[in-house]
Amino acid sequence: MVDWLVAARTVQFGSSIVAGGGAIFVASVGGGGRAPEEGRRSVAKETDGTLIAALLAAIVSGALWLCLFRSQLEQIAFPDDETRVTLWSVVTDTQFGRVSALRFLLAVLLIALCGFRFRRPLPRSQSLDWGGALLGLALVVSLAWCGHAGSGMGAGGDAHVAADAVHLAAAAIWVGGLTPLLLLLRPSLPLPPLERYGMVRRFATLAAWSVALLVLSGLVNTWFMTNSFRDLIGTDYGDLLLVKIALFVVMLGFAALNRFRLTPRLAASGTGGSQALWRSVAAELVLGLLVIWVVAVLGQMEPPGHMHVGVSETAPALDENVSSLRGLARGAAHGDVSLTWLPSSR
Amino acid sequence: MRKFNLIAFVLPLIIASAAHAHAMLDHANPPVGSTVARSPGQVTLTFTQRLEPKFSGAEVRSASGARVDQGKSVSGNVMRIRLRGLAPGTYRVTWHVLSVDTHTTQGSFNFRVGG
Repeated sequence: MVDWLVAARTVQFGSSIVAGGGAIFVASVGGGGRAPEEGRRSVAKETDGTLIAALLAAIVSGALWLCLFRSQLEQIAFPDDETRVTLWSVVTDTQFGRVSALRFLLAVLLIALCGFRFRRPLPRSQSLDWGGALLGLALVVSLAWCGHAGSGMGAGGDAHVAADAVHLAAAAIWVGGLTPLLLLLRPSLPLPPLERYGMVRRFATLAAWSVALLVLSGLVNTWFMTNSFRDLIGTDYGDLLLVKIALFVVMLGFAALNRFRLTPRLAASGTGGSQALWRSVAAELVLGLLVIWVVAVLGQMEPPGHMHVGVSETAPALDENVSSLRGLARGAAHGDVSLTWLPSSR
Repeated sequence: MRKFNLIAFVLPLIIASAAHAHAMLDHANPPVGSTVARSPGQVTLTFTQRLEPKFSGAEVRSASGARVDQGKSVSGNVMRIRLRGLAPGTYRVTWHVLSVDTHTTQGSFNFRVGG
């Protein structure tokens, strides 16, 4: 059976990262004044169609996610609540809805920009490229307000959402940038080998910084999540996490292979080297998309560090149940209630 | 041992943005399971995450099932439920909340008024 929420989240994360990272790639790697005009022309021509397709996927999956969220709210509302759960009320009265609306707008603007750039005669405008990069960055970073990081309070909450935003941006620059890179490495594309080589080198530098940012922001996020490593053993969540770690490590392996073995060969051997690098980048991208799918699944599971608390209602002395963590702790301390930790079994 | 340390280092990097939590009741006033001498003017519920006001609510009922709440207000992670004057007895607070990260939780607890 298809889990539509996981499907919508996967497509939303994947398409946003491809579109955002792609737009940043066009401005920073394919343009920015350092690439020759011929190279910049090819970059936009080859990538804008893919960016538009990714943005359309982001819009469709975003709409599906919003509809599924509305259904979820309908199921939990009290029967006598006056609140009517309409799509409009979800958009206007929840943070997720407002951020989603903003993200729709960003996607539409970026589609218009890509379409304009695609049709516009040369010379290309660098400010248009950087405008697209900013829109793409905003599209990706705004995902931070659609999840757990956006629910924190005070300075800690701000720091968490900032770390999550950096994490998303870094993931987009690396994984999202692989898509235009793949398009431009096609051996059939008539691009001079040296220009291809220069582009790969510029991307490699950007991706290396992104990996560093991913690690740092990941550490900060972890500090906020405070999950225990031991809790992850033997749970579905932990198992899936190990799969994700394995994918991440293999991705790093491919990145190192591309950077240190295949890129130098590109300058020396032209088309032959390009073919090998194309295959390797394709593998890296597939792994990156798999990681995004795992993230979408994990986001729907309860991490072991946030297990549900269950307690017997047969505690006549205290006459309380569920609800208060501190109350439960006090009850447990006095022996009035018993605590049962229930790891997620989904 | 070194292998374990490496895994322990890498693992959090990967889970970072994936994990999520639900808004749980951190504490309440009157406290969960407590007995208060006089009727409180309101019940205050403090949660572990920020709430969506429109989709978060609570009701308070007497032992006979009659509702005694008179409306709510939500600000940040705090929900206040105004009460009518309560006669001595046991009351049940049932809450349901939507945290801003789109997760829903619900729960209930009792408190007593009078000896």
